[in-house]
Formats: sequence, structure tokens, C-alpha cells
Amino acid sequence: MDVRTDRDLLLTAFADDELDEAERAEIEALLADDPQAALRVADDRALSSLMRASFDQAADEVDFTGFADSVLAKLPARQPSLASRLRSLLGDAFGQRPFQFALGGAVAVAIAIVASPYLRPHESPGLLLAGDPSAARVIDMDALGDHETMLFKTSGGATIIFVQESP
Amino acid sequence: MKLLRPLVAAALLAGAVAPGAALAAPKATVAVDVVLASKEAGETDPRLAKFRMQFADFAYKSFKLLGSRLITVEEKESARVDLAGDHKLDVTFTKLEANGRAKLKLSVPGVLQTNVSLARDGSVVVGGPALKNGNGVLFVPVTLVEAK
Repeated sequence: MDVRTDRDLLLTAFADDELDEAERAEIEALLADDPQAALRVADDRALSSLMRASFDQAADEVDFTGFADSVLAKLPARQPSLASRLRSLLGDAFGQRPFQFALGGAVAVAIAIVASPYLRPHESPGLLLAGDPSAARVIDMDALGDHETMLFKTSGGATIIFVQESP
Repeated sequence: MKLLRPLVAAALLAGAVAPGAALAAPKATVAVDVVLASKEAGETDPRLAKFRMQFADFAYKSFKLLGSRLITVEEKESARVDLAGDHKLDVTFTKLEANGRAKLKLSVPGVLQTNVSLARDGSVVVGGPALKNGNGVLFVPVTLVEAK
């Protein structure tokens, strides 16, 4: 059985640059007097760098695309309850000045109701591409100039007229 | 007699308004969005997340929303929308069909002319050709928001 002494461990740690200043000074003094120990440290360092290079090469050969996303997808979603989120968001304001807080909320709601017809953004349904193929029918299509057309129905349901230059 | 006066007034008012309403030309409200698709990796506008899913069949990796227009066109009339560069899209509301669908003529001068029939919320996407500078392809979803 291979029994590693404290000295062995210290030499290995020295090779890996893991010692504090006092221990490092102690080992450096030892190495100056002990050629066997110096050879051992040199071997350890060579082995470490060889292993590091091997791991780097192995890592380069692995495609980590989407790795982080796949790990995150496996984590269960954890979200505090609505009550605790509201408490942390509004706790200070509501606790100190409840009347002013309620009045401010009422004014904000009133402004939102009055202003909503003017503030409604253009949220284009086109970007949603509802995906009902029957909602769109192409009657005819003609390419002009040096172009040709193709009609696609994607698996997602979108109807696409694609134009490309004639070869 | 007292009851008759309001009735006559209401009839006259209805007679004055009804012909105007009956003669008003149908209008189509159409959303035109301009999307630049690229095969180079990059960020996609969050508003285009569903659009991106619909385009999963293609090799495009990033999508950018260049602009959105909401136009209202009377029947038999046209409206022009600037796309990108020199490209324009002419939208002509050709007919309001009995089932509520709208027939639209879409024309990109020098490139394409097509006639489509869209139900409410129906979309047709006009795409291509590849831009000259090699920076991707334009896709233009045209959606009928309302026709009446």
C-alpha cells in the first residue's frame, strides 16, 4: 500500500503552488539540500501540466453549445409567493404612510383608465403569426424582372411567398 | 301631435345619415412588419420570439424588427409602405368578400406581385430576395387586422 507522508503531500502541494508563504519557504530550503525531493517536485509539475493539457484538449473536443441553457432548464422554477413579493415591494411604503400610499394608487389607476385609449401601443398581430393556414390564401403570384417565386407553408403554419433572383 | 314630432324628427335624421353610411367604402386595416433575418448568430428581438419559432424550418439564426406600420386602406385604394433600402410594398385593398375576408394585392415594384385573401388576423409573409450587401433577407408579414 502506498502511504503518503506529510512531506509527500507538502511536496505535491508545493508543485501545485498551493502552499502559503511559510510552508513554501520551508520546502524551498528542503529542496536546496535534497536533490531527490527536487526531482520529485519536477516530476509532479510535469505530470500536472500534462494532465492540464489533456483536459484542455478533451474540453475543446466537446461541443458545449446550449449546455448552460440545458442545465438551467432542468432547475425547478422557484418563485416566492405573490404575497411575499408584494410585501417586499410595498412593505416600507405601505407601512409608513398607508393613506398617502392608497391615495397615490387610486390616482394612478384613474390616470391609467383615462389615458389608456391614447397609450395603447401598436402590437402587431402580424408578429404573432397565429398559424392558422386557412386564414391566408394566396390567389396568384407573379415574379417581376429577374426573379422567381416560391410558396411555402411552414410546419408552424406560416404562409410565405419567397422571392429570389433567377440563377 | 306631440308624439308625432319626435318621430318625424328621428325619421328625418335617420334618412340623412343612412345614405352616408351605406355609401361609405369598406376599409381594411393592415399591419405590415419588416423583419431582417440573418444566418449569422445574434440576438433576436423578444417581440419576434413567436415569429422565430414559425421560421424554425429555415436556417436563420437571428431576427431584427426594422419597423412596423399599421395602415388603413379604402376598397380599391392603395397605400405604400417603405421597407428597407429602396424596397417598397404597395398594398391595395381590392375587395371585401361576403365572408368578411379581404382580398389584397401586394406588390413590390420590380420584384413581385401577388393577390391574397386574408381572414381577420390572417398573415402572409413576403420574403426575399437576399439583400445586396449580404446582410440577410427581409421578411414582411402582412396581417389583416380588420376589414369592414
